[in-house]
Amino acid sequence: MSPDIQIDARGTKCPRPIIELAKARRQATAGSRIVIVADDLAFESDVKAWCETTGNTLDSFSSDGGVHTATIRIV
Amino acid sequence: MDDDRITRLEEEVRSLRGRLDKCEAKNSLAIVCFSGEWDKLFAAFTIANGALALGMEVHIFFTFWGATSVRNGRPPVGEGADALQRAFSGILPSAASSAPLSRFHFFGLGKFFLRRLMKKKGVDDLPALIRSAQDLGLHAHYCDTSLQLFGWCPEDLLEARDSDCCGVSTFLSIANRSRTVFFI
Repeated sequence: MSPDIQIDARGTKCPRPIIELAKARRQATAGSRIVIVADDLAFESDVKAWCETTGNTLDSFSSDGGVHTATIRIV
Repeated sequence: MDDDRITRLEEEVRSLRGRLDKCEAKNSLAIVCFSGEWDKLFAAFTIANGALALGMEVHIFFTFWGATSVRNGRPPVGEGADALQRAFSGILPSAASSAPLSRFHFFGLGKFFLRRLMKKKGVDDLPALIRSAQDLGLHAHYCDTSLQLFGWCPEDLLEARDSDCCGVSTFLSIANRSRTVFFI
């Protein structure tokens, strides 16, 4: 299943990836998925903190050669 | 007799609940932006953006040098401004982007190098952070006294969607209900 919203935040630094995530969240409907790719060092802890604070679910998180991919399910 | 007591107790509970609602801290961030230097503004707007992205309510009180950071880049239009205020406005930064660094400014050379480095590394520039904070719903409060001191009116400042000119008491009542308060 393809994600409802895909964000490529590679090459940007904190807080830009999370800002883009927050903007995408406004468009997303409940139950939809957002996939965000970022290579910022702070992204792993930031995206986890974002999910925890906003109450959305981090479905999966993977890293490959410094590039992180997070799949978030909007609650 | 019992009915009287129950009515009294009900009233008391209602009044206490009202007071509790008023003093309960909200998940909001209140920042006093006093500094007008580029690097400090960068810190203030980075934190504000992070908090807004987390869904927090963010209020910034722009006062004194901090008020220069929200100027719109044009000469003041306030008709009440006198010659001294106009002259002073002329030497103050006309927008956040023209603010100096607090350290290693070196007549602009330090800032030039820093901004080049930030661009190369994909770090947002200050104007981009300000735009994004406005877009995410920043509540901007402009210090009334600072505006009157410098001879500016709200039209001389950035048009935030949710902005007002207010005094320190208004800001303190907001800060009082915020869990996080910063002074930058």
